[in-house]
Amino acid sequence: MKKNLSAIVTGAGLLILWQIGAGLAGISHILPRPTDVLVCLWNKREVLFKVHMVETLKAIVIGYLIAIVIGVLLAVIMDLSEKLEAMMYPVFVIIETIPIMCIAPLFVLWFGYTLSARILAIVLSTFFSITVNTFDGLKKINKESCELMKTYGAKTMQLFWHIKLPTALPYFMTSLKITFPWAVIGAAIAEWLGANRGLGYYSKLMVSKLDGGTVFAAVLILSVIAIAGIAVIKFIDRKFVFWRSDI
Amino acid sequence: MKKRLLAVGFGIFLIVLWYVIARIIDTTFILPTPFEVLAAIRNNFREIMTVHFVATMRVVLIGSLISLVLGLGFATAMIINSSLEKAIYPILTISQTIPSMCLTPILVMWFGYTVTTRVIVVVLMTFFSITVNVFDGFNAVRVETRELLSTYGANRKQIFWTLQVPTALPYFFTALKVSIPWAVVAASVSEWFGAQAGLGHFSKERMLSLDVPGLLAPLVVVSITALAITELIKFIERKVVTWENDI
Amino acid sequence: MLEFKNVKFIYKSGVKEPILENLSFKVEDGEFISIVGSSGSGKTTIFRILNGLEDIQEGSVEIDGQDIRGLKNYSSYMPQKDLLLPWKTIEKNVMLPMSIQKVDKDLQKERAIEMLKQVGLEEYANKYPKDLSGGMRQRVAFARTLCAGANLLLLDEPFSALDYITRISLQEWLMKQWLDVKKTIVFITHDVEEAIFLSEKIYVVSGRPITDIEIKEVDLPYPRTREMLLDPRIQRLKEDLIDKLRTTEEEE
Repeated sequence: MKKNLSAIVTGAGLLILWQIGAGLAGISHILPRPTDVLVCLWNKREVLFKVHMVETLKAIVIGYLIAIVIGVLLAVIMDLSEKLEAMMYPVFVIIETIPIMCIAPLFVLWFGYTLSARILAIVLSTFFSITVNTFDGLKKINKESCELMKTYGAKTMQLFWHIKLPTALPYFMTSLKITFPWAVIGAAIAEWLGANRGLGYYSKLMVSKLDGGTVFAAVLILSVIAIAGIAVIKFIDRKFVFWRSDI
Repeated sequence: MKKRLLAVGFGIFLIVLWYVIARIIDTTFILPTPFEVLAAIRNNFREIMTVHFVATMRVVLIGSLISLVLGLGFATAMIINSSLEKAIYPILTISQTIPSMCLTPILVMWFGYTVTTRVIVVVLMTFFSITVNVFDGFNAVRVETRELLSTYGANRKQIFWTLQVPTALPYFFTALKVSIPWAVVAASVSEWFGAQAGLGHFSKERMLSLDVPGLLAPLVVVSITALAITELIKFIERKVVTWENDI
Repeated sequence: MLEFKNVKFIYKSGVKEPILENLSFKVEDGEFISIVGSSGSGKTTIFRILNGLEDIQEGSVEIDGQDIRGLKNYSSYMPQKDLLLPWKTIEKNVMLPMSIQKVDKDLQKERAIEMLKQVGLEEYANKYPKDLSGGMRQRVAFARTLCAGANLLLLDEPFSALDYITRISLQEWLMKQWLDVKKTIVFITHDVEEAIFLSEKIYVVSGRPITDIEIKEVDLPYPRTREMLLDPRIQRLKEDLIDKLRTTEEEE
């Protein structure tokens, strides 16, 4: 809490400096004042929110949800089968290292400037991390706890529910905190590649039109989405994964 | 050994699957065979390597170096002086709330479609992980070991160099292994916003010409590069960090 | 050699009641004494004060008549865990206190090898801590403690993390070392038998606050053997000490 306070204070200070500095510099087409940005946000609100933000949000939400489902499913499958784990895990770890996002041009070529292309790009660039991290969590189970449960006669399903799931949950939550920003970024950059709507596309357009205020506004909305998403994840983490420190 | 074979086998299986599907579809425009991609690499090799690879790697290397210096600098400053820690931490927190790549439009407005812009993006994406990891490493020193050294009369500087630096080394390498792939992704993908050269730029150009093998060629190059750099870091790590960190 | 004079000590945080109040005791030069007491009784606190890791509120602690607050390197501390740095060789680990004290490099190496010979591990000089067993690592820690150069050695339950057989072997080994190097040793343990086997005197710490120490003499000649522990007088002493610790445990 204290650390957040100093961040807020520093942030507020920077904002004030920005307001004054930008006002003095007078180059509002590339460095608008915070007030200019807010004005743009208000004036262009129909377009920004109803058209572009919706478009980007669709990609993020659908793409990320699919990524979570695939990610968790694969993690569980690998946990259940040692053979599958041996086959797939090393491959996934390698894919985590390579810039898989760079395959997005292929999707744009296949599907054109559509939502599907971008959703595919987001899914591909995020689910590997979710899989690997969740799997690591499943594997971190305390061997002794498992053996104890087995002596109580627990079957695989019960073992999974009572021990493996709770142990893996923190790791899963961590993978979400890491990958969600990438989902947001992925949506934006896929739009730079090919889109005719969306906050990423719009900010790019406004750069060429030298409309600094709107560029900042679009970037601001994207940032808020990212921050809000992480805040939600952290909230869920605190509420439901509260035993974390005991592991 | 057997596990390795399974993984390699799976990788080969995927490539073979790719080949088979590509032959069935039999349209280079939609899915080229692996051989066609290799041919594209060979045909464009000189251009890819001398122009685009260089352009992208220049950004990766400069950006990573700056990140290293910043990261180590911040971490050291924070550990030496706790009031510096209080001052720097908020800046770090702020810098991480906004997904750095989304700031590209603003950076382009200020610095143009240049190497500078992309270097800044790379730095923003990577310096935080280095700072935080190294700082954690400095702090991972056991209280008892620190006290033991103080009973020998060690001063602050001696404790830093004899104890904190070696303890932080494994953490430093972990940070490197994570940030280098990010740097490569950030460098290539930021080119989609606008650049004159680079592997990401090349990919986008090929996409617009509907040249699928050509579009995929940079992905192969980028992937091999990212993997090679990561292996290099791992190699150096093995040579330097000869112990298991269980101080 | 070592003297606690009317020492009062309170933990800065929380508890108002002092842990040590008006505590005085002495340890003579070259003695081997054990401090015994139940967990949390304050023996570690006494050590941390001796070490310079904690500051007292009243009274004084003196070494050979001088207040420790003005002294450096008057005691060598051996902690419970060996705390060997995993990235340094055994030799470099033993040299650690000397390198901190900026002793001449050649002299450092000489003394380190000498101490490793003393503990019987000179052939491991170029190995790493991970290559050694727990018992061996404690012996290296002892060599390092000797290299810190003081005449007063403070050993904080050095064998408690080891298995039984290794522990009793190291007890015999420590006794031989002490007879050889002739330093003053203050030894903390919660194992009554260990205290009896090793020490000339046992300082029993109990009560809160600790206001005085009960001293029990162990009337056995050196070098001692485990058979001597079977002597009925010794058995009675052991039961006596156990009783004493039990009652204080219950009181707390």
